[in-house]
Amino acid sequence: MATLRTAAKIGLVAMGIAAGACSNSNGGGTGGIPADVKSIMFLQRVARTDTGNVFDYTSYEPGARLVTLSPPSADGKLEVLTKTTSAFNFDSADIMSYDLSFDAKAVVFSAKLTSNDRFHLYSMNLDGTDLKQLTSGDDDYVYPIYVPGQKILFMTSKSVEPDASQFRDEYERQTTAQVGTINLDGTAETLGPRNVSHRVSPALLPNGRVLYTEWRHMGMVNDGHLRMMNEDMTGMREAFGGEDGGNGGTNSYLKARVVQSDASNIQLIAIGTSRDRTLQAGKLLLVNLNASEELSKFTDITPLVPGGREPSALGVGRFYDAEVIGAPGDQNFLVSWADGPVESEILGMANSNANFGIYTYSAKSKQRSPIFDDPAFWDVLARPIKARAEPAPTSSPISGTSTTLAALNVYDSTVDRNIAPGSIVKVRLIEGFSGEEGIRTFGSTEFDGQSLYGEVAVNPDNSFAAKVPGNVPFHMQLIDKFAMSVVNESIWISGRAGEQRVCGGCHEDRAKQTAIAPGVQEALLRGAVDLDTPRPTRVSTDYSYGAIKGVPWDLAIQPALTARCATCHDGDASKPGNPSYTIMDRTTMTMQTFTFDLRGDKLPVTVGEKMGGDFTASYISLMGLGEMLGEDLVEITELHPGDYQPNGYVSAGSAKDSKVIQMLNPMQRFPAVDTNVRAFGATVHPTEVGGQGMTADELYRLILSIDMGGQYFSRENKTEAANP
Amino acid sequence: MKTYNIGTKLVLSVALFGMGGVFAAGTAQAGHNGSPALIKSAIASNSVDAIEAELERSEYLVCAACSDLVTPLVDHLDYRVRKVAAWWIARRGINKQVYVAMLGRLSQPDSFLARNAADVLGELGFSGAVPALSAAMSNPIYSAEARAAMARALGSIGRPDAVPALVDVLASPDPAVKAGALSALRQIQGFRQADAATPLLTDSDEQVRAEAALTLGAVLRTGKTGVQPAGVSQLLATLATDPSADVRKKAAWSLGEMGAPASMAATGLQAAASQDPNPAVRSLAHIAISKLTR
Repeated sequence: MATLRTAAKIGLVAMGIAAGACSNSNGGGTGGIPADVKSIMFLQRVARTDTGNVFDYTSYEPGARLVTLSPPSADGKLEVLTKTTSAFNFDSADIMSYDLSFDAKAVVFSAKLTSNDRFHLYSMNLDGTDLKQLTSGDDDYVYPIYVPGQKILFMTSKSVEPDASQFRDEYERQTTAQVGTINLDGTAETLGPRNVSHRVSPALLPNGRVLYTEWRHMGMVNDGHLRMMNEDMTGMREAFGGEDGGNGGTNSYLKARVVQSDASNIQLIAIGTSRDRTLQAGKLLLVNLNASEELSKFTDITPLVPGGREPSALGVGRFYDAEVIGAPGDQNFLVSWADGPVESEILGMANSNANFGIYTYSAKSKQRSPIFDDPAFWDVLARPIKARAEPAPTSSPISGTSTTLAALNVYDSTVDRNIAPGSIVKVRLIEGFSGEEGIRTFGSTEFDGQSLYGEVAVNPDNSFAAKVPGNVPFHMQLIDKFAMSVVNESIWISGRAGEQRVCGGCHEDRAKQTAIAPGVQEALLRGAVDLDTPRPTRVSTDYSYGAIKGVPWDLAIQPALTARCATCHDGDASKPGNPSYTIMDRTTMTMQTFTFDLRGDKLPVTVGEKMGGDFTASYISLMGLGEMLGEDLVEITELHPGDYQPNGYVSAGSAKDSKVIQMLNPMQRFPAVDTNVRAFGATVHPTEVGGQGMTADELYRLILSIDMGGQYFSRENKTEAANP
Repeated sequence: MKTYNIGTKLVLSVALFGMGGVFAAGTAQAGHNGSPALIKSAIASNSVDAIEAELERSEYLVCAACSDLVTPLVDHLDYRVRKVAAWWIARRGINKQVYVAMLGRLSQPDSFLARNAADVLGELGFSGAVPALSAAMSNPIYSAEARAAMARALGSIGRPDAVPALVDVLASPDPAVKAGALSALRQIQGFRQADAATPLLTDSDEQVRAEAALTLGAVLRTGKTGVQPAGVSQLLATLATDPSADVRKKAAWSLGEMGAPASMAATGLQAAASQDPNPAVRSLAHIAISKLTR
């Protein structure tokens, strides 16, 4: 039975009554709903506190149902669409998302029928007829939306590569969700390119493109930004989050819905919140995509709602989702909102739940008006039941099985606007992978697994083109003649098998137009260097230049350190060049002294909770203990001033910024090795103290290891990672 | 001599914010901003979500006291908590100590402890656990739930050397163990012995039959290296006669997923697509027809 929220909800009393007292300027409907909205659909899910992470898609509590409410008011007629019948049982189902068809006569939804099941896609007419199950199998299919051309787009844990496991996020541990499409009847399943982490929460834009939330996760980057793609899963690019979103925005943006659009802008309403603990609820943000992410802007229309994961206050609460109603310019929304502390820890302590109900919300007056609330459920994702325009399908040509990547001018980059002309000689392309390959932690830095595809020469006109395996995330670095990364954008890129992605530059100024002379692009693509090799071959069999793929520290780096460095750097603090410091863990009062040591023996770390013996003394000496020390109660005492280097001698992800590389002073690598040309002045270590310097290949391996994140484990030594 | 006090800032922050801790909007850093107080608070809340979030956040936290807080979570009643506790432990030096302790639990008779040990070992992912898990999985002293957890752990570790033990327990009298083993086999890279699942299409337990049907399709998925459709006639019999709609759905799906020959499977699937009493079976049979090899 439907009930209005009771007076026990102090926040509602405080604000809802006031909202109810406001006049309705939207044409005389109920509680601010326009009169032409005769009926709404929404999802009723059993309350829970285990779905705080914005990327979670597997939370299951039986008892969900899709309902319609006509008229949309508390005394309207509530009808359950997902009724159990003699032919089909929804009694134990949870439903996580749904979408209405363009003609508003059918619905597609993602439901898990029993605890042993997975989330799968179903469709049915709103009159209850023509129920179909559209997917099956051992993977989850979630977040379905109708897209133009009689198709449904969704996210799934099924891997597009039959012989490769789906990525398992190394940080959050879950099997990632990636994009796919099917026909309306479930046939023609097509799976799209993969990201190393999740993609969730898609929404169709008026221009036929699809917006979605992507977990960006490389090194210290860890956020959920809005990106967009064609409905055929090509042309993925940034939409919002990296630039204006960084100006006081939130960590993650999700459940975006279109408010209005014109030729120059698409305006969205989206939830902005912390990555975790907020039950996927947060602020309401109006986002103007404008022409590019660089120009995108947002407005916080619920400024009192916390943007982080702190408990929301009574009367403030958090919003679960929003849908524009009425004239877009009026900025009225149908929303789901819950009062009080919408934060899983506080709710857990109180043995309580957030109670999402349906309201209208005026962005102008900042007031809510209650429409419906059944305290037994989360009442969420309310949508007016009315037809909407179907845009034209959006797609890109698909040909072959590789992804082709090209840039017309590698110097056109906003990552570094001051790249010296002529300094970039090659483009390095790197494959990404994660915990699904059996490596639980790759090293002491925060990077995912990486493996080199190869390095492609920049053409005389500053362009480049290469083919890499389709559907596999990759990363790109611009490298100089010393083989060091000069520009390193901290995101993974995806392309479908057969997709050709041609950019003006490498993360170029996206606010400007790129003019392409006729025939230039075609010629560039014809000359693409083929780096697409079968998955089983993407592992180093030797570590020489041109052959190396992954860089296992103990196999690829240590031999050179042992041969060139370990005689002096042997952990003896009495020798020059062996800085020493002592760490005292103030929580346990245990101590350990670390002395610079480039030998290959495993070094047990015995202070702090990150103590372990997975890594060699050389790895710990060069990488430092920064990541392992974290932020807690340790006291560090140096033997000599400067002995403790907080970040070690390596800047993970950037060889050129790493002290060890600056000291070793690499020789020119391209176009040919030239030991007389050095990257950092004339002094070369250890030659200046009578030692034998590293060879070009040895230096290259160390540079590559650092540029790829400075990880200890890779595919080549993962057997070691799998054993204590 | 110079001394750095790395932890000063955090100590101050915890003192100011108390239970609520330090909250940060904007770009969060992976595995940072955790603290012993926040972990303790999350555990006290018993919120699975809060515990997961807090342990993830403290991925890089140095805190000796925290292991005393987190290690007991390996015996939490919720599987997700056991799993995230093991993940946190896997990133710390105590992982070897916990690993040894969990292996030890597979040599004692308590099924609760053994089940939890299996969950932890699965998350730790050390391949050295495969023999002990394999042996314990076939030991009837443990409950079916514990042995199913051992199968799940072997699937999570994903090593091919677990295959013989997993195939062996397909003959177990316990449906949960058989179902768990079938699920685990699907996770093992390179596993192609789909015929091991075929006899279980006629098992008396509905869940086992469903898992067997699922296994055939998943293992023989079109596009995998070195696979040919197999078990087609058995799947067609299941599709036509199994009393469970769930099993029939999975049989239909598997026939399509493996790209069964149209000459063998089209008629049976067409019959299911038009005549099965369950609408989901009908729609999945229709989809499977579109995937048959012609």
